Amino acid sequence: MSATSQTIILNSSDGVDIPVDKEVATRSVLIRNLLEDLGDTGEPIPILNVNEAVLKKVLEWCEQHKKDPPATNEDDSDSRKKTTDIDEWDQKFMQVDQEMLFEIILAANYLDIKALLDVGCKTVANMIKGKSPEEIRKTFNIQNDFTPDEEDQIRRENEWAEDR
Amino acid sequence: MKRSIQYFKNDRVSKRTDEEPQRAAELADLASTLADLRLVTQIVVPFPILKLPVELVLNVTDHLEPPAINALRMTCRRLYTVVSGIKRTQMCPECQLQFSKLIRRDRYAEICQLERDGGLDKRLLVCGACRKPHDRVFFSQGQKMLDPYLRHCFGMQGYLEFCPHRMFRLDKLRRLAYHQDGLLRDLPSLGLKLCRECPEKAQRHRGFGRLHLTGFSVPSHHRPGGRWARVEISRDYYITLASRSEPSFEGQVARALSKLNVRVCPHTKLSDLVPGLNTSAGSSKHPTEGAEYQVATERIPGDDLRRIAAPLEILPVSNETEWTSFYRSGCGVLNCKTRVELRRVPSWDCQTPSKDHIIATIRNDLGDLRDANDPRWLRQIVLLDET
Repeated sequence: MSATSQTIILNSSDGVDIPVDKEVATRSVLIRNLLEDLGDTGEPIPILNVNEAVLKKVLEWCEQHKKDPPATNEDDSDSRKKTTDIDEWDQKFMQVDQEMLFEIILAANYLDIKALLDVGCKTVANMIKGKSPEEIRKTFNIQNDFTPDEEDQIRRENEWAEDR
Repeated sequence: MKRSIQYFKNDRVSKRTDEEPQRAAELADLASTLADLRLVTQIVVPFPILKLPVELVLNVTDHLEPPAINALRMTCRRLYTVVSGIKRTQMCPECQLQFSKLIRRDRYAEICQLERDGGLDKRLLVCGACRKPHDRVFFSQGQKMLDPYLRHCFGMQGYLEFCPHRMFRLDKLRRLAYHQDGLLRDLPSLGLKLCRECPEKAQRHRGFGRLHLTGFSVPSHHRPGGRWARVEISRDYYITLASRSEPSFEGQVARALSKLNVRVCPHTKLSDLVPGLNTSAGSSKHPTEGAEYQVATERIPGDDLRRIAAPLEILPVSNETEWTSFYRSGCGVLNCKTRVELRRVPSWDCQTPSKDHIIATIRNDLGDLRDANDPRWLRQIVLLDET
């Protein structure tokens, strides 16, 4: 990769062109692969599943993290599992409404930005942690759609926990 | 959002327009401000976590501990099928405890709601301390009036009197006796300190005490904790008898014990149990005189003070043998398993060889301390006068 920064143009799903440093954009494995396959033609790269607002947010994250070392091996899943520590900047970055948070997660998944996807999932995990089922329902506005029979069965499964 | 406001305006407000135009206008105004407020304060999100594809839901659960995974799973059908649950046997004790806390929190909120709505069995009331429903008889009149969150049952309200200056509540004793994960501690090694006043006061009466919390547990498949336990609190009073010039050994013992003035359990004093000293051994009243607490006028459930023949055993006294127990007795009140044993020690102090020494050991059975309304526990506690 050349030292001078090149600019490429991304075209969001709602048809807005967003110019961005190549170095920043290639945090996304999807875009990197596209660039490698297509070659640098200077034409806008269509990002089909991500709208402008979300794409800008994602690129903001990429800009902040462009200096990070590229993601380590794929099979480090054990070490990243179970930890929900998020660095301070990312925590602030993730202070968005739930709709946006989920859009970011979907976009990170689509654009294949593993680190961002992890941050997003950790944020959601932190929202779930330490909450009872009813509190989780309230947090995520989930409707309890179990039938009384199913509810009974679940209660029986967890009977042991009620009696301690 | 927009649609719901529209609906509100059309449906409710326009109906009234025919009858009370002015009021309707006011109402419409109110409705729109309310709707505006709601727009600002409440972000309505249409279940976005449910929109996530399966692999992303699993990515989220990768970051969760078993209790949170199980809790998430119990929220709705989709998550129940997508996320695989973790069985109790696969969880560490710490996780089991966490999960059970989460479940109980929901259950508690649910039964409080039920009680408010009148859906709970009329014989039951929710206890805010145990977070469980108990029978009505386990609450005092005053507590029955309170909100479920503030209400305490007798077992949580009462105190175990160890000495007139030191009282224990159930939660304190539980903390002493059990680990956080609900397993019984290694109790025989656990000694408690006496309060500061007691040794002096007791010394004046020629004796002093020491407190032990002892217990043992038996593994069991039936109990959720995996084992069941019995906790016992025991006190030793070392008493130096007056000189041998007193007429009889029994007389000396009786005098020393009456001076010690120790309450064995809420129903009996130590001196009550020694024959030939006090004839009130069969008294069926709560002793209140001389105590710094007042036993509540309300009766603790099952508070039947009928005595079953108090086990009383006078062993032959031998002046020669050492460390012999010469007297055993116990409180005869139903469910009160208090035991007293007097033992004789030749002398532990070589400077006063002419004196005799006895040790009075009092053991109170507290049950397993798990259920606040265990009859064995209720028998040992007193209620402080709330005023």
